[in-house]
Amino acid sequence: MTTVRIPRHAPGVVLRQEQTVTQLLAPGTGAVVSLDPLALALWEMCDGETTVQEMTTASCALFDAPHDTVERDITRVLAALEEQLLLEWVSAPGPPEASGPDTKADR
Amino acid sequence: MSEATVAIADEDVLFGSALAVVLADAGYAVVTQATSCQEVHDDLARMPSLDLLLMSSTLPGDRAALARAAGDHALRLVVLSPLTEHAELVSALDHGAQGYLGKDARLSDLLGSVAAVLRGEAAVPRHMLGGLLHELVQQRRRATAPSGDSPLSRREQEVLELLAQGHAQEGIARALVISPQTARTHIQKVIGKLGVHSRVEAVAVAVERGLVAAS
Repeated sequence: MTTVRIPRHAPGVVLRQEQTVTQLLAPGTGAVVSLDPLALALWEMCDGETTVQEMTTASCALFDAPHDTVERDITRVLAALEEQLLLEWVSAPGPPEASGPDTKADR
Repeated sequence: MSEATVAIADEDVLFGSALAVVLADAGYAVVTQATSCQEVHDDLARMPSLDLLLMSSTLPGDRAALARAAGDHALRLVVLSPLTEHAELVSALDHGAQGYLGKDARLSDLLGSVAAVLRGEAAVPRHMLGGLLHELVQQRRRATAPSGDSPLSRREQEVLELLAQGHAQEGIARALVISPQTARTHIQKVIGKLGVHSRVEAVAVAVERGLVAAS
């Protein structure tokens, strides 16, 4: 059976906004990560339900950008957030249409 | 390189004139300034090779028909709004606009949006990106999901439950670790989907329908 890995906020993360600056504060490490508007939009879609494939499709539709480029950029942003322990991944059964790069074998 | 030709359509003559000065300063050719949809239609008939239309979201007349006409003329459209509401943004994009901007935007954001749209890119206010991408994901899910599914997304359901617990916009943003602007967008969508007019009404209807537990 295939599953889809879905990003969600790590517990305890705090979002701070002052003027045009948005930052995430990691509870354990004290790390502070600044988000640009697109990274913030991606962060807000990390709800434990929205797949990377869905984020990519929506972003492609909005920005009329190539799928591979958008997916690479999104993956990079999410990896950076995960590295700072701001993000974690959950597994869910993969829908038929989600047979994309974010579909992995159960591990 | 030839300068892009721009039409301004705003019912507020003073605002439209100020916009024309700013755009001319930035090197655009502002070729007409209209105050109603009908005037823009007349301009389109006279000047079929316009590049961009900057249109007020409250311009008198049939704005949807004007947006269609702009599309027919391959004219790029940026909607300027005094509200910057999520529903209006989605509607503007659905009607073919490539850009959407608040009338309270900074000049640099206005010029950046105009340039982006002329390059063929979409331009929406940064603080509305999260809500818009969420909406695009939901639209795609609705298109593929079997009918009868809950009208609220999981995020909207969470927002509704927080509303029922008495949280305001800031509290919801903190609880979900999202920006207050995106929290506001979700609240607006919950209110719209439940067919009510206020947060209080939304909670009352949600309790009545069993969407949230009565406290």
